Formats: sequence, C-alpha cells, structure tokens
Amino acid sequence: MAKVKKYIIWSLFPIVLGLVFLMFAYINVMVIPEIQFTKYQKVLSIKAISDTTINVGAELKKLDKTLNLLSKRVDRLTPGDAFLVINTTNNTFELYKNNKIIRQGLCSTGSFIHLEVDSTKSFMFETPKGVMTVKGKKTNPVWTKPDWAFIEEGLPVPPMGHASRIEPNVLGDYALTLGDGYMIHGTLYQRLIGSPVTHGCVRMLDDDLEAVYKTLPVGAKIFIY
Amino acid sequence: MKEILLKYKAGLVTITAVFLLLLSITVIRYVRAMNAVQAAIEEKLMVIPNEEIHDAGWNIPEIQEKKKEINWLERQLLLAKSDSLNLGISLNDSIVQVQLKGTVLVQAKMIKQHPEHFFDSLNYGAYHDFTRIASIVEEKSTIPKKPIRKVQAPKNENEVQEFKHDTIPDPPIVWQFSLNNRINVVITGVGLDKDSVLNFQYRKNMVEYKLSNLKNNMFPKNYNPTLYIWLNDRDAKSIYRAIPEKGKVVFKN
Repeated sequence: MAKVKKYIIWSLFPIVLGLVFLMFAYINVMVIPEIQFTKYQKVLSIKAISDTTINVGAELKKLDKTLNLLSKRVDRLTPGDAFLVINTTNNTFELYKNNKIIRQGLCSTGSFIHLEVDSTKSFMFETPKGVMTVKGKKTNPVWTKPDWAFIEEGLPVPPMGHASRIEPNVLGDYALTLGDGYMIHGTLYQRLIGSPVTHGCVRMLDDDLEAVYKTLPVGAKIFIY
Repeated sequence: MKEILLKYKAGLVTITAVFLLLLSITVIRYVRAMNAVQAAIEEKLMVIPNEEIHDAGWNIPEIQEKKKEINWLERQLLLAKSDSLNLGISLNDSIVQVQLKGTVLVQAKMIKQHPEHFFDSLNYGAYHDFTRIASIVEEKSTIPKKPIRKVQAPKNENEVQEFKHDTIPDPPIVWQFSLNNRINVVITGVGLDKDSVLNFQYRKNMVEYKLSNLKNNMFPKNYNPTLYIWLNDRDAKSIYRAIPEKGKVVFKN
C-alpha cells in the first residue's frame, strides 16, 4: 500500500511540472502580447477635451457638405460606362455597365511559364496587371504568330511577314486589342478556360467573349489584377 | 509534513527550480515587453503633433464618424493618383479591398479580425497617423507572389512535351506584412475542408502565430501592434497576388 502511494505521489511530479510549464507558456505566448496591445492602444486613445464652443449642428452641416463633395469626386473615378475587371489568380472576369455587374465567369490568363531559349533570350508568359484600354476591336481575327509560338514548338523562327506566321480561325469570332500584343480573344481549347494557360492574352468562352465584345467600346477600361 | 518534504525532496526541489526559472524568464520578458511598448508609444507620440490630439468635436460620435469617412475618401483620392494596385482595409466595415485608380476591383468580407477593436477609439492625432497611407516594407507568404515555372525551349519538334497544367492547389495562404507605420498585418486564407465547409481554426492559428513570434522575439526590443485578419482563401490569394511588393495600404476604422 505504501509503495502504491509513493508511486502515485512520484507520478504527480511530472504532471505538476507540465502544468507549471503550460501556465508560463500561456502567459508568455498569449497574455503578454495582449497586455502590450492594450497598453499601446489605451495611451493613444486619450479622449479629446470636450469642446463646449463647437456648434454641433453647424459642424455636421459643414462635414456633410465636404463628404458629399468628396464622395462625388471618388465616384467619378470609377468608369460610369462599361468596363471589365479580370482576376488573374482565380482566372475570372466581371463585366460592368453603369456600375453594375452584368456578366461574370471564367477566363484564362497568363501561365507564368518562363520559357528559356538560351542565356540571352527568354519569354515570360504573364498577363500584365494594371489598367489597360481597348485599343481596337476585330471580328474573325487572324493570329500573327510571334517568335515564341515557333520556339515553344521546337520549330525554326521564320522571318517577319512570312506566310507561316498567319493562322486564321484560332482566336474565336472576336478579339479586343489592348496594345503591346495583348488581346482578349476566344480559343479552340474551351475546356482549359478557368486555368492559367495563356501566353499573356485573356481567353474567354465564345458567349462571354461575344458579350464583352458587344458591351465594351474602343477606349473602355480593362482592370487586371 | 516534514517527513513528506524530506521523502520527496528531489521532486519538490525540481518543481520549485523550474517554477523559479520560468518565473524569472517571464518577469524579464514582461519588463522587456513593457519597455518596448513604452518606447513605441513615445516614438508614436513624437510624430503626432500635440495640437492634433484634441480636435474639435472628435468626442462627438456623429462628427467623429463623418470625419473618419472624409479621411478615408481623401486617402482614396490620393491613392487614385498612383498607377499601382493598392490595398484598403476598412475595419469597421470588415472589408479588405483592392483598388486601382479609384475603382474597387475586389472586395472581400473578413471572416474574423483580431483584436476585434483594433484602434477603434484613437484620439484624432493618433487616428490621423494610423490612417495615413502606409507602404509595405517587408512581407512573407506561404505561396509565391508569381507562380513562375521555368521551362527550357525545345531544340526541335521531337523534344516538345505536351503542356501539363499544374492541378495541385496551393496551400491556404498566410500573408504577413509589416508597414512603415510600424503596424504588422497577418492575413490568413480560410479554405474548404473535404466536406466543402470553411476550415476556420481561429484559436489554432492564433497560437501558431504567437508561438512563431515568441521564437523570434522572446525578449522584444521593439513593439509593433499586429492585426490578424481571416479571409476566404480564394480572395486572400487574389489580393496578395494583386498587391505589388512595397505596395500601399490604407486603413479605416
């Protein structure tokens, strides 16, 4: 009996040690940071001295006027007509008209493949982020294949203007040009829409592309993030 | 009693020694932590002009609310002059948004924020300073900013490999950044579990962050308040990848 008692008491020691350790761990990990934040916030939260001279009604009126003015200025920054927002991480788009989403869906953007040709030449297939404008609109666009299209196929690069660079019927029924060779266009590989597989252009499903083409005029803004 | 003490002397001495050791570490840590806060407060108060602390009407809730809104709009107008995508964090609306040229491109609702009342009762000067446009000075994340894949160009047609799109999803994002106004932000993406339910483990995440912070900063010299935000993982990843390195951030509360 005495042996059992001794055994129980000895086995309590590591438990107590564990509890002591846990208690200090909790204080150090959770409690001290909370105390730090509370003190920091409290000092910076000293209440302002009550100003008895202020005319609340007049002050509120003045603030409302400023607020109205600023709100209008901020609202004016968002395009009032149609614009397109493209999310390159989720490969989705939202088409806006009069500040309302009129269509949304999947698209495909740059694959982030860095194609290395040699130590001096490489291509980065990335859709640039920022704001672009629709520079032009085309129906039945024809693709003029750039150098990388041959290089990634292991083919010799033909001279500029060579007939082998011209490829019709691969960009869908419509294309919107954004400058620097970037376009919003259709694709033969519709099942890949929603994945980052392009060389930098934005690919869309046929119906979405038609809606975007018909909604966005030349000069419309394309926001890419 | 004396007999028990003698019988279990070794055990009791060990416990007392461990207790005293942990206690002294905790006391030193507490003192260092409080000194760090004090230093941070003094530094902050130096950048806030005295006359800005007591602004007329700031203690009247309706006026304060309007002044905060005006402040937010003024910052938006300033940010709109930049060509870069920037981040807006509105704590009282529980919203994180990416904006460019004044147009909001994505707006994500916070699942949770901690502390729940992060700087929501600052004096006018401190509020003005807190909501100043800040820049990211340091950041780290569990996913790369650009998921670049290097591919060697084939030398001929026989070397061309069929393109295989990487279908393995990225892990949920944890994006931590420090701002030049000495505020740290930790944005955690909350993904879906195997039953398509949001896998939100707030307590586990908090312990993990604080433990990792303790490892690097047991006896802190500096104090930077940290804001923790949980967002839907898809939104969090989009926002992280949209904001450029050294991007601009603005708060509202």
